Amino acid sequence: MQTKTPTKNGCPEYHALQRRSFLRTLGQASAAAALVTPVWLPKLVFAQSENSERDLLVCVFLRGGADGLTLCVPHAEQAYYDARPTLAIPAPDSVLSNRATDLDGFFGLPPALARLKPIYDARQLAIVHATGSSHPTRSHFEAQDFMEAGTPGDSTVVTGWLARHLHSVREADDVVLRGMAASTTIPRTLGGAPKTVAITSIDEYGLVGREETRDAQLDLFREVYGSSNDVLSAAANNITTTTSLIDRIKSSPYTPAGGAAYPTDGWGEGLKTIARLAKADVGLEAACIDLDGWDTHAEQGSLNGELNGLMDRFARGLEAFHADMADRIDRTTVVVLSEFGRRVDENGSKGTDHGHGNAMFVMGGHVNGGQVITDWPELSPDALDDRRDLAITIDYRDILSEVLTKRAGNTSLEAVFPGYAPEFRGVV
Amino acid sequence: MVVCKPTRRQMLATMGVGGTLAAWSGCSGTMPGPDTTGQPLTPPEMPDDLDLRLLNRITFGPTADQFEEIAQIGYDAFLEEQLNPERIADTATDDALRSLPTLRQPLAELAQAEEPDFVAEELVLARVIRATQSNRQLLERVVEFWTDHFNIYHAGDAIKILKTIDDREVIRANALGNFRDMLHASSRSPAMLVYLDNATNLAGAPNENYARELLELHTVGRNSGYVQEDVEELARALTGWSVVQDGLAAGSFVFRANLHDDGPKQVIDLSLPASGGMDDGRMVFDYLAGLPQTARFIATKLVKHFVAESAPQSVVDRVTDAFLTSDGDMKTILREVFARESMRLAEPKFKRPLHFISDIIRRTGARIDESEELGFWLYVLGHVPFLWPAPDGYPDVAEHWAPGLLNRWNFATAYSFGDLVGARFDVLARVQREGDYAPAAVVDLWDRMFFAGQMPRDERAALHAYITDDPEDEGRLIYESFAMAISMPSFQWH
Repeated sequence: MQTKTPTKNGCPEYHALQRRSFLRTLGQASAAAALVTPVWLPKLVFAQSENSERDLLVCVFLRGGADGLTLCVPHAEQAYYDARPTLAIPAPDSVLSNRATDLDGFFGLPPALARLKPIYDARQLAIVHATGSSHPTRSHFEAQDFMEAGTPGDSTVVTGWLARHLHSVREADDVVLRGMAASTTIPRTLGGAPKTVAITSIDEYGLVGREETRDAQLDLFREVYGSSNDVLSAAANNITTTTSLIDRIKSSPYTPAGGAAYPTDGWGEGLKTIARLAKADVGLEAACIDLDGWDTHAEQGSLNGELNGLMDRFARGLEAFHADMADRIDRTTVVVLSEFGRRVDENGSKGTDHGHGNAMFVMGGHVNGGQVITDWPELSPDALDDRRDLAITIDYRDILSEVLTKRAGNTSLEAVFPGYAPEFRGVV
Repeated sequence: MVVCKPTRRQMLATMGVGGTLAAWSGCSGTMPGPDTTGQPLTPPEMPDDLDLRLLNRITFGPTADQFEEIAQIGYDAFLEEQLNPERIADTATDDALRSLPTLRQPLAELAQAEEPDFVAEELVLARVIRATQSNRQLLERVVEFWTDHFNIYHAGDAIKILKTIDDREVIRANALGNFRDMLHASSRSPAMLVYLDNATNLAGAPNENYARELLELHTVGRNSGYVQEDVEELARALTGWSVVQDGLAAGSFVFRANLHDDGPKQVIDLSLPASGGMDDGRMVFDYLAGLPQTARFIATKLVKHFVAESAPQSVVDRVTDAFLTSDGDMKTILREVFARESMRLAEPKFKRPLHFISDIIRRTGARIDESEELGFWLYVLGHVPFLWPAPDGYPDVAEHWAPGLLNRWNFATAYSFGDLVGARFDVLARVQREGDYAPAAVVDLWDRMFFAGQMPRDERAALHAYITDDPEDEGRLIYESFAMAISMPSFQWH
């Protein structure tokens, strides 16, 4: 039995955390990690053999229902201007200053997305229009659940399409991290995914506390959280294996390549985190990141308000990620989804209500870019879905299926989108 | 990598991929297999003691005083007392809240606030103080429930001010009152009208946002039979329900008759005659509050939150009946939610981050005097009050919160340091008070404090082994044993 009385003086480490010094302490922890990790270790080499044939898939989710008719403007269609008297983006040949940048004579990008045009021109960005999830719901929550599960109309499926993809391709030997979500939790898209963690920032990820007992603590967590397959046990296991890996990655400082200027917000930091993990070559295959705030029912501000600001952040983020990932863009595919598009007619609040068909963005080195892929259903009242919304003529699963098959080595789409027979559209 | 299990067939069926089952049934080591997908969580066992179950359900973490009180006065008296918070003295909390003047300021004064962020921060701090310190714990748990149900996001200056009014006059004022009254109050809450855009819902060009969420989230619930036309008709019925923009009354509710659509409407089975004016809204809220679908939807949600995620049918039925027969009387409803028959069917719930943090603070008796650092932790854990952007409120399922474990472990370590500004606890002093530094005695101490003496045996053994692994290390014995104890899987549940 221990009889001496411990004192705080005996544990100087515990004085280290001073008021609001949490982040600083984490910085010290990484400095300490640098001392114990050989600095000459060039890159962590894992799993090259298996994963080098598979792209990193980045799934961006625009939550709230992004207005696809602003993201990719059908400027050649008069019905668009009739439906959007205050919200329409002027056509490229307009005399107005805030006009769209033409893409193909029919569609155009709004001013806030014009910075994506060079990527489009370099044929590394394609837009798919009049696409989405076939289920008619106008509920955000139901639409997101269905889209992320990959099974519109079937609410019994609780796992995500991207998670099932990861399960249905062979896992590389010794890989410890296959998926990540750049957020505080894991979205439905990756629900049930193997070796996947939520991580908002490399520098802030890790166990706090004493270096000398870190491994013992990780062992304890592994023991008590067990190795069963349930969500909590899996979360604990994924975290315990990932912290050591991240400790090594954060020991070398990160400078984005190509002069990439990420937006200085959670979205920009999240994209940078994805790029940094990708470049550490740890075997990362899938990443999810959200951009919130697209539910623009009032004062939408397509040109100078809320939506304009969101699109600007979105475009700056994609542009920076593209520049940063230039040396591996050939092994990267980014898909951008949103649960539904918005009503064709604007409402009386200078906003738009929940709609149906939408636009998708697909970016990457092997994307058949420089085109808007669509079977355009038109915007005349008779052509609209439910006489209200842009119809869906391309199921979003067609696009995802093609990407998974051609860029991610998937040979069992039935496991990802059960009961669905996709039609490839030539997106990659 | 893939291990064949008897449950495999079942799992695949649940996932809706039965079609590929045949292809996989050979089961070799390299088959594609969703081996962690769709698996339920395996929570710890529930304590047999119904008193303990009730305490876990109606508090943000039971304290020693409450254990003593329920033992003295019994289950029913304790519940009844908590259902009548005005009978419970709460002077320490009142004192703590006194330093937050915006909580009590009338709208006219709040509207003058130059720093809306400051108003919002005071409301967040008040939420944390009340959750951790109030003696009226059931009220605070119920307030949390309705705050999520009628979720409003602290976005934009107007809402940062108006949510304080909503919290006071809609949520807190009606949390133990009547659902019908709360619904009516919410429908005139300027914060809600701004957040869900009804403030700009005009005749001739309606805005559907509020109408849709009113049906889907606030009353009858998704898939209860309404269609898009009902949403549109309901939006028409609520045209003109708005908020004063300028002047002395800025920020208060106003019905603008000239912007109201005065044609006849049909919402589900309710016909509204032409020229109803503001009565359209009044009638429709009464109608929705009285629908059996609403009673069942709210009852199910309450049972999921307070009893078990699986929502046992018998409990839902009893709570629904209580809702219908009492016409939405909250106390009658809650008596059924917390009845012994309900608690017998209770299943462990995964603590949401505010609950996890509050539980630790309550059981250690720390006092909250500042929120900045706690706010940081709630932020990294994804659970800052009033910061969930979508109108459905913070998720109430374990799957959402489980991936955030790392920052729970880190909070436990930071808290053990005793340096968490705003909620200090001196771990060393607590052990010194006990005076026994044997590893088993220290483990016992944390077991009593955090597990009511029912810490699972494997967790106890692991914690003991962690300490004795390096018997000379005081850090392990004192601080880390504390942090590891509250990082244990069973402490994540209540």
